[in-house]
Amino acid sequence: MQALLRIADAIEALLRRIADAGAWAFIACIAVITVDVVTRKFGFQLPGMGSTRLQELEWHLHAVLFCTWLGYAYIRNAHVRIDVFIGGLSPRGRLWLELGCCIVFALPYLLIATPYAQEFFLVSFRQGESSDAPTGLPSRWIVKGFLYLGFLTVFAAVLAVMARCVVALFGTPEQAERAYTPFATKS
Amino acid sequence: MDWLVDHLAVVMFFALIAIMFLGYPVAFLLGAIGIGFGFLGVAVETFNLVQFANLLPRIYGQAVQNQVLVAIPMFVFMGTMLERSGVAEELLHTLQLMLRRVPGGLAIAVTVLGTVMAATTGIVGASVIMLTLIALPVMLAKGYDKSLSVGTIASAGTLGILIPPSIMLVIMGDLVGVPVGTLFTGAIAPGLLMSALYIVFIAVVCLIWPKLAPRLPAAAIGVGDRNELNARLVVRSFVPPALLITLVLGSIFAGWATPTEASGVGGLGAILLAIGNRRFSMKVLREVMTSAALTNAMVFFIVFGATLFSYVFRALGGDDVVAEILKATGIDTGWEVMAFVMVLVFLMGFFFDWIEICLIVLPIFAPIIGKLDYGTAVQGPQVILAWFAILMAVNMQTAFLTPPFGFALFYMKGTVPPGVTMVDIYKGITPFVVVQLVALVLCIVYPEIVLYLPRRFGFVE
Repeated sequence: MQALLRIADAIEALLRRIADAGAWAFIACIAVITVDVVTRKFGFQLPGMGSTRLQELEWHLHAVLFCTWLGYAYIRNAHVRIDVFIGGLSPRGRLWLELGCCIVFALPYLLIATPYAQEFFLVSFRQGESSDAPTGLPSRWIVKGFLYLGFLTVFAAVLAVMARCVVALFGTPEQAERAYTPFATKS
Repeated sequence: MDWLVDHLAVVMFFALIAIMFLGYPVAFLLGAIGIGFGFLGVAVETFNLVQFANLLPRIYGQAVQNQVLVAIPMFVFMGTMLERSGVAEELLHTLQLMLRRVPGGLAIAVTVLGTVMAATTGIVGASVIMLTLIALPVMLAKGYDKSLSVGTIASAGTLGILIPPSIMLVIMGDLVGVPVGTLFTGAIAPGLLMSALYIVFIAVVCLIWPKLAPRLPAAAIGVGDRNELNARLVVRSFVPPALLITLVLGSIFAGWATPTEASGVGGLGAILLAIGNRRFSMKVLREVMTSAALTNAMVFFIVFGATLFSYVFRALGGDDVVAEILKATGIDTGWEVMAFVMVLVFLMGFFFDWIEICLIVLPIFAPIIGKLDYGTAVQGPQVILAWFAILMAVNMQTAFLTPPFGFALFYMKGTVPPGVTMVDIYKGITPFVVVQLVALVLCIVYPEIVLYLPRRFGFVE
């Protein structure tokens, strides 16, 4: 039980760091869009930063932004739930339900999608894929790598939530207290 | 059994609806149902295992390599930053002073505030929470009726998702293949119409029952010398948001900037406004980024799942099956299908949030609706789809307010002061839902309400 808790803590700390770093993509993206708009509307160009590159950079940055937050959003319970009918369940019931849904829905989804995401990234990496546009950005595999990372963070988050559910269900009362899960206590 | 094999897509649709009530994050359920029914399809030989390899390229194409959707995090960031910038408090204060002689003046001030802030934010959560925090305590303190206060705030806050810029319209444009600029221009008139209807409703109710909304002496509004209405106050509170609206929407409507470009510059504008109001700090920036990134991740993980779901649904022949079922039930003219979809969306609104409705209903019905006939007023697939998307958007305004799962109610529940019960909230929102339905019917009967501005700005023919 103690080990499970430590694993969950470690995963969450890691996901938090990844997310915090990724959040700066907001500022980077605002900056890139502003530079693109200003340079294009006023008709000059910074060396090596043509509009095609800047516009590709915008969605690259956006990919970094949401992929780094996918897993952490589950930890923070930000993913939308329709919880009208399960609101009346006991805390233990909700823990069982969450654990069951992780096993029946989340894991199969991720076990299929993550290997495909890995393949998708590796194919691009081996080919040294770059933008289709001649003036576009090189190294397209980086953004595909982030997509893979996104699935990995979700996978890690699901494992962390499952670990917490197990501890909360089967651990000692003190351990269960420590295994606080946001969804299980929310009404 | 054969029927089930032929109609696996329909089973898939209802399985999804049923399973969503388990209360597990919808994004996971969409993906899991997609993959699960993919395997079922393999078992009955209507789906090929190889097709699973298309899933990742689909997700990549829909969510990642997509210039238009970059506008979503930018608008969310802009809205969240504005919420923290102090602009809204200033505006409410001035509006209160301006409207204090009108029956229900404070409630009308809140609706106007909601309308103005809607144009700048584009997300419901932010505007409802913001309005609840800054306006509800004031309304209750001034002796306004609880239900009226709650209904006003929930309906005004919900306008945020209809009046552009709105992230819902960005997603809809992307899903039905209509430029976001068209939808933004198309949503203005319905949004303002709805806001005007709210104001008329509030004024009439407060004229008939003055007890619901006591009039306020000027001294009760401000503190010290801040209770005088003067030009400086009006300019100071109206100009910053007006400037940002002009900047963001103006550049889109003029065709000068794409929505993505406007959203990025709007994000910068919101930061500058916060700095100007001395509300900006690294702590605020971090909080805004965290909150906006969580919303954004939520949206895009659902887009992942919905892409997967739609792909399998299509591969299982879902489009044909839906068309066939509609025909079998005698729903086949344009207006019948439209009425069917509108009722379906209204009913789904009781349980689901806009994002699920959009991502599930639009891909299924948009291709069907686009090919139907709506007379000479609405001709051509692009025009029909633009009109349809706005009707969906107007319709989904009710989804935020209808129990048991109205998003606006959900946000309010967490923010209302003690003493306001769920019964007050339900009683308060009911008349506003009726007003919303009136607006919806008007937009259906008079498509020009939706289509005049897009035509005027040259977005559609």
